[in-house]
Amino acid sequence: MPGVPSVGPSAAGSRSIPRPHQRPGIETRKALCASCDIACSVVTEIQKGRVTRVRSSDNPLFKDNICIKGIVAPKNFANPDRVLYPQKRVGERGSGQWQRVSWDEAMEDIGLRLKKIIAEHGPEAWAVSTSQWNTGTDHGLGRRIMNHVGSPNWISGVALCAGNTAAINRLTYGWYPWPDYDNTNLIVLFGHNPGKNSWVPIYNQIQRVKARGGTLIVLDPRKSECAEMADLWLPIKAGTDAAMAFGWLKVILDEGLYDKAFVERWTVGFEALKKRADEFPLERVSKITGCDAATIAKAARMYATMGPSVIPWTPITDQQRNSTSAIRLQSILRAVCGYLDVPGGEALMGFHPQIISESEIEMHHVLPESQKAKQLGSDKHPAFTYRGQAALREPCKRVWGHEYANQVTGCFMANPSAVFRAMAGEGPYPVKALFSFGNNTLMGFANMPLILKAMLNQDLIVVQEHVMTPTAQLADYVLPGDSWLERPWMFDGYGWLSIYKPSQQSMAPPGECKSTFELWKLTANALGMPEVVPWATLEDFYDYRIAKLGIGFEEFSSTYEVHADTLEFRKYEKTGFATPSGKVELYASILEDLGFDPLPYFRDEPPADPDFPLAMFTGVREGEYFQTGGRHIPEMRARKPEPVLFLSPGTAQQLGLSEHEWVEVETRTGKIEIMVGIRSNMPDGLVRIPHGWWKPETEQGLGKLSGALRYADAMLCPDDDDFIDLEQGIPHLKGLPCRINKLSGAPR
Amino acid sequence: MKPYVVRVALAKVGFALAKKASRNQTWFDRIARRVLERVLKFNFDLDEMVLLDQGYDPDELERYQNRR
Repeated sequence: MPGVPSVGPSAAGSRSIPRPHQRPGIETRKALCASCDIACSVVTEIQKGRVTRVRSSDNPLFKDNICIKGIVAPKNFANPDRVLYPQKRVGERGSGQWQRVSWDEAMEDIGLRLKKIIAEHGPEAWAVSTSQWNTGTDHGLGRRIMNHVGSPNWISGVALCAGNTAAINRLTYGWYPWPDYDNTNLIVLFGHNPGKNSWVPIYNQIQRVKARGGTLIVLDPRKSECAEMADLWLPIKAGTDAAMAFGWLKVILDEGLYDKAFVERWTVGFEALKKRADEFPLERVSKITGCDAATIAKAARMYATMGPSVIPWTPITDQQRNSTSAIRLQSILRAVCGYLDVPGGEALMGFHPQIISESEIEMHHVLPESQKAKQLGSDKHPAFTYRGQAALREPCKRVWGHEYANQVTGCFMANPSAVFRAMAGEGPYPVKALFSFGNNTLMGFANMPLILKAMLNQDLIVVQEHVMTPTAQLADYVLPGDSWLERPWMFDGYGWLSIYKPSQQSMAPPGECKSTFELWKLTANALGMPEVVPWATLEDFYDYRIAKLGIGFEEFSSTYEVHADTLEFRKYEKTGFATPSGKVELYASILEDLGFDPLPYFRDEPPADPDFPLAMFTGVREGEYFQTGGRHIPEMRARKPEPVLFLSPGTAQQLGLSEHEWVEVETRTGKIEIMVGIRSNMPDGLVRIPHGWWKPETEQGLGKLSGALRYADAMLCPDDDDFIDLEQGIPHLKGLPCRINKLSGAPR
Repeated sequence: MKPYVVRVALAKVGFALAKKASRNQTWFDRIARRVLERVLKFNFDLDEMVLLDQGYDPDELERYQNRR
């Protein structure tokens, strides 16, 4: 059936021209904010050649999709410490001694050194780490060049944030669905907490659904802001999402609340699933999750009977010991309740028929199978690697027209921990060169001590950044990157939504800052393969991608706010699902072929560690900052000057801690210093640690790394077998054993 | 909550108005914007810093960038 026209951000063909400013001398441009990963439509105001204000879009569809990180962007990118020119390391690695060089000098040397490493160790000795999804500016060119060179070792933070969710969703029904917020009746947030300064469009969508009488269920150990406005809050024990989903499934199956016609016609493995769900009576689920059985049953019934319902993506389920099973169970709940690809449920969007996707740009087909087989981590933890996704190639071609759908850039990644081990000399082969673009690699993954060791064992590290991050401080070259105010951009809906949004350039980049497009083009040239990136400019590249629309990027960006194909539901009735069986695989044949349990399961936590009696919940980002960025912005630091942990009044009293006291948090992996924040909405025994802290104003170089070694949560997070998800090999960050040590002396 | 068919119809009208409103080129576009601004009267929970934001002075940014 045709889709319902939407007044939400999923609207197709929306055009927009910003209102001119009333005052003369102020020009307005239309842009997409990339101060986080949401890509909100905004308007920039320009005076004297620089952006002086960022405000929300004039388009009523996107009105009020803005937060504090967006409005301080002019100050963020006017940072007096911004890297404006290529810098070459002249002392020992991490010495903090740099020499300004020209782009030509830098790229010539980088090309020579990378070619030497490849000649000596093979192309797989080159790893790339980017936050392509967050900055959205790589456009698949990194993968394209790597595929031509022959390296499969691309990693990203999306391995533990949405990219892995996309890859696991594909195992069940072939494409990662997006919630149809405009028409849904009920939203379930598994620990996710969108707010006024974080995931703002989602927060606004939740408010819209609530305003028109919809229902909100929140599962969160603490009574979060979203839990405060929920119709039902389940104070779930951190890290037990899979068990909770089993509880819901058990109730729904036992009480016959599922969509029998859909299950019969479009699923495989229902009986086996039912048998597995029988292993999870509510008493067991209650014991694991800490929620009472009646509330679990009530929530399950609400989800199944008040629909269409949606379970939006959540970073919380991504980062757990049972992440694969939990994500699979959320997928299964969607499917068996009949909420898949229906209005108000979760839509499978497919590729945009007229715009060349980033997956296509990436050219995964040119990477030889022998090189794909070398992808690090694919032997033990294959779920999101080439090996894990290989069986989806034919079905994807059959249903969606292309073999490779790299959704949220997370579907053909190497395992980050395996790459760091190889970089540290502990892998099956050496990795000796790391490119880290717009991505503070050192602090962005678990087991920072290992990553530090890995970086110190490299022959070549190239970083593109705005500021001297702790990762940049360890580089051979730091290359200056432009910002979203300083370049045109075309957002592609993360290869997930089939929605394209253009952004106009608002000002010239300062100094010698270049776009990631230019950097990859220069890299291709330096490697002697200029034909791989044949477009002269970024605009030419966009013109190529949208040629079928019959307009150029300039016209596209000046008129369109969003370009999307009209949403169509229940497409599977014509094509089947993009899985090996053509159906929703409740029993995942791909996981079975890879040697894993084809049904979801729950792996208990390891025995309690008496030395580390508290549970730690980390990976949490604060509204003022995005991941490890933004600590240099005065307005943001004034609001949030120090890292602060949250714990309950009871736990604080038990440990003799007081508000604003500095303490040490320790795990078996490492320790950090942090301030105490006592919060009445926290459960006893749980410690909540903010993500990504360092202090740009403090001493740089190895030994200090601007406070990264002292404050970064990545110092605390293990990646050994007890604390990873088996199928993906991603770390468990929700419920790690830790302890708090009191610190003596003056506040830091 | 309104019946589904009503929501579909309202969504269609809303979408048509939004397309006009966001074009921002004719009088009708501006009227459509006014209508939508009245209809879409959500009380979004925006941060006070966002609500009060007036942007930066270009000379202030210049001084900040050059540490003057």
